[in-house]
Amino acid sequence: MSERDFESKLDDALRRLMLDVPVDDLTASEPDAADLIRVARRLQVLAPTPAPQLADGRRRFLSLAARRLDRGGSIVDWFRRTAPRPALAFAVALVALLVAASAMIFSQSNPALQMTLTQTVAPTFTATPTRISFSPDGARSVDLRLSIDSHDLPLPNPQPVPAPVISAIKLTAFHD
Amino acid sequence: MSDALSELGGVYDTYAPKIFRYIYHRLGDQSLAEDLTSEVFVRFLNARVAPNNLAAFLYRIAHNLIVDYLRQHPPALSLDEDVPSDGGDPAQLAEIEMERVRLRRALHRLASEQQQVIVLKFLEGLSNEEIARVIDKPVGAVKALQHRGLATLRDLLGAELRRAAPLEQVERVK
Repeated sequence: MSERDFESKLDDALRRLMLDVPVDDLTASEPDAADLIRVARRLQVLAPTPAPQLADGRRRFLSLAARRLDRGGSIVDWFRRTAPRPALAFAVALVALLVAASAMIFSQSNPALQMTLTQTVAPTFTATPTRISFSPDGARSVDLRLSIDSHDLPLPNPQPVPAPVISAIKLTAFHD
Repeated sequence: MSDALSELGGVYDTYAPKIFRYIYHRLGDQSLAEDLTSEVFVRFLNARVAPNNLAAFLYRIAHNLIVDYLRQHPPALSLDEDVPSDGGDPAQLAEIEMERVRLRRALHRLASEQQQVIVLKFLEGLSNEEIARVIDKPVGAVKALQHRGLATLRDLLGAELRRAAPLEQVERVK
């Protein structure tokens, strides 16, 4: 067995050890790694640690962080940018809601707006062709024609209003 | 600003106990581990850019502090063994304490990277992938360091390993 294969088998056995599979089962299935599995198991006696006193460290950290936030130029800037701001998010959502509600009320109370929208944009639009010449006598030239294809789409609420949907914008070149 | 401070407080509360345990297992001294944990977070504030993986970044700072400390203060054999015990037979507790001392001494004699991998894996419960991010090496290297670390520990502990009693006591402690 290559060293790499052995390391993989050992690692798999250690993974099962961490999942509380009994040591005897593991050493029986992996006799080559039995002594290493026992060492790993034995290390668990070191796992308990004393309860740390971290309150002073926390105060020191936050005091320093507050000064850095005032001054800028370190990792605290990243936290300042990414920290959630519930008040700001609420204000933005409220403004968006008010704008949407105002627009809906305004469009319902002004039928002319709907007509204007439909009549102005709905028909397929084709611009007058433009000729670009590449020689003084116009022997070498290209015609450019801009067209916008659209079709009407009924909107449901509050009244069906045909709205144009642009399906294609074409720029076509015709060469003589 | 208070939102950012609150976030930073959350970072401290989440990671400080883990960093403390890591340093404690590496150095075996509670008050030193508390001081160095505090220093880890001061250095974290000095970072210029946000790390891709916060946990790995903090463990790396802790590791560098440990290496710096050990360079200035070569490891002493007197280890702080003020760990919680759940009562029981004094003779048995004394045996467990001796076992802890034996294991810590052996652990502290490992090469720095082997010690790092063994502590992160078996005492901190990190996965191979998480350890690879901390030590900035591929997962294959983590497996190799784990293998070599355990083999060295086995050799250091020597014949004691074959004694059944400590293993039984470990079962009871857990």
